[in-house]
Amino acid sequence: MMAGSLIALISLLLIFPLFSPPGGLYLLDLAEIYAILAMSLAFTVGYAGLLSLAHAVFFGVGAYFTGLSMIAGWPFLPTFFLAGFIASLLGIVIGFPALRTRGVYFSITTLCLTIIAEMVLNNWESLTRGSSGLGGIPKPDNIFGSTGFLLVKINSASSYHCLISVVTVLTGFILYRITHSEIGRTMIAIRDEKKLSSVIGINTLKYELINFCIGAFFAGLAGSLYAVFIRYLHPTDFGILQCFDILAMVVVGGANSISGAIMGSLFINFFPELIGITPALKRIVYGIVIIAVVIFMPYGLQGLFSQIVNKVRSRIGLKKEQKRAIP
Amino acid sequence: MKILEIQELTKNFGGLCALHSVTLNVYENEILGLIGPNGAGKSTFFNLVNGFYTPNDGKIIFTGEEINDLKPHQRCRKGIGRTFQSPSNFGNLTVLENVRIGQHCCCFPKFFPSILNTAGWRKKEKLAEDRAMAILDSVGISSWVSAQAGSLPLGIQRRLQIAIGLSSEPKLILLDEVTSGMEVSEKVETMELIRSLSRVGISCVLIEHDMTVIKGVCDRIAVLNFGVKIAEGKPEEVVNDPEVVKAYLGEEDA
Repeated sequence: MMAGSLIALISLLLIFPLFSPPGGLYLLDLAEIYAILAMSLAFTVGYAGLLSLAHAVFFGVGAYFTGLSMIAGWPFLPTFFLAGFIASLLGIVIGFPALRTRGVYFSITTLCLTIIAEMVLNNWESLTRGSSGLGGIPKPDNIFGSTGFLLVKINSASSYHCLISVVTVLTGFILYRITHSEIGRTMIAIRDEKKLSSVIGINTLKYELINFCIGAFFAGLAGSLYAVFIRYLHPTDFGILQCFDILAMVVVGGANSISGAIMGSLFINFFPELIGITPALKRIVYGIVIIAVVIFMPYGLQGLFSQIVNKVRSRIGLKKEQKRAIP
Repeated sequence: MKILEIQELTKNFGGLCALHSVTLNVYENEILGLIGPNGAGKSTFFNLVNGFYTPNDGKIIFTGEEINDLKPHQRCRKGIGRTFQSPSNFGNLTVLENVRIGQHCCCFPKFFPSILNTAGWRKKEKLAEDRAMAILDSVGISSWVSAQAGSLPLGIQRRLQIAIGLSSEPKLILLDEVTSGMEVSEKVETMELIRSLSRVGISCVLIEHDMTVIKGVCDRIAVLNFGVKIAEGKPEEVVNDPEVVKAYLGEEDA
């Protein structure tokens, strides 16, 4: 399953630019950035059972940090990783108090943090330029710094596409490895049976914090890519509505699946363009789509996809892939 | 040698006194039965010993060390294992994976080796897997290794729970009604299993309603009633104690 999805994804990313209509590549790149974000949220929601509504905060912190330091003239690559680390540090700071609450209370706590963060972005004008937005972020002309050594320029559409695709594929691969390791199984154990986990010696808070932190790290990376790709940041891009957009991608994709998150983000980003609706109507359509998905295919696009794969397999006489709770 | 020493343990839930000044010792390699009517405070006692509840008063001393302030996972690392009254396991994982998760504190998954699946980690995982198989063998469910835990029959789930409890290599295991829902032959096997635990140096505290099991395996019995310990001693002494008969066993028709 893993190798298959990976090959499908890479070939999509390679072939699409050759045939894409004008503007299609831009849309794909944006969908990939959201795919990173959605994968990081799917990791937290699906594998730790934490319905976090603070993911837009980590996304925003990564984006604003990158924007500000690029304007200050920092090279891209160290900024990129620092954005991830700062987001995960914030993940610890937020997670430590928030993880003392459970279930819906956790969601409300993280939702409050998103509201606070949006207010800070709006009102700390000396740093973030408030509601007029942070513009003028330079292209990463030299991602390793201006040493003359390894001069890699990210300034054309294709180089942006390469950079974003590499990060997307690596994120998917790393999250897949984590979820299929002993660490991932421990997280699933905590998600399913918290009491039992603690009596067999698992420090549940620690693992939830690790999960939350990793999710925040990749959300920060997505934010960093967003900053150099869009090159204009506005507080509303990192507010509550953004949280629900990411959640929509995760739900449409299939709530506890990393590959589903990629499908979900492709769907959510391309769908409104394909049927040609205005951005104002977009969220109404999202709402209808989410309700439809929850009713008709509770395992999301990923579930639908593996059903089709299994059908084809049985048609051509191959054994069915065993259905497991860990997709 | 005392392995667990409970001194005047008290737990109140609001106005309800679930456990009142209970003093109890568990000795090494001993099987202690804990009986009493429903609501007597038996499960509360387990929750206090394993750290889900903090006592209002009293001391819990495990292998000579006070553990009142430790969290459940820290107490597990000291050597206290337990099972739950309702069968609980990780239903989405296989039987083997369940026991492997149970080995968390003795085969601690290191972050990067486990994700990168390094040679050293695979070797460690193989060793842990062998040990897990041995545990499943001793509990008698090794034929179910690759079954999904959530879909097992009740009796097997109960035994899997004992296996998970044992996989953290405890010195003391608290067994909460492990034989309920089992058929007679399974009960006999489980009794034999409990006896074999004490032979390999694991002390057991056993909550049980089935008196044949209690009489069959326990070295000593303690009786709780309305949160108070009303008797303690050898099985034959305790079951004939008039107060115990009145509170729990019921008077036999003459």
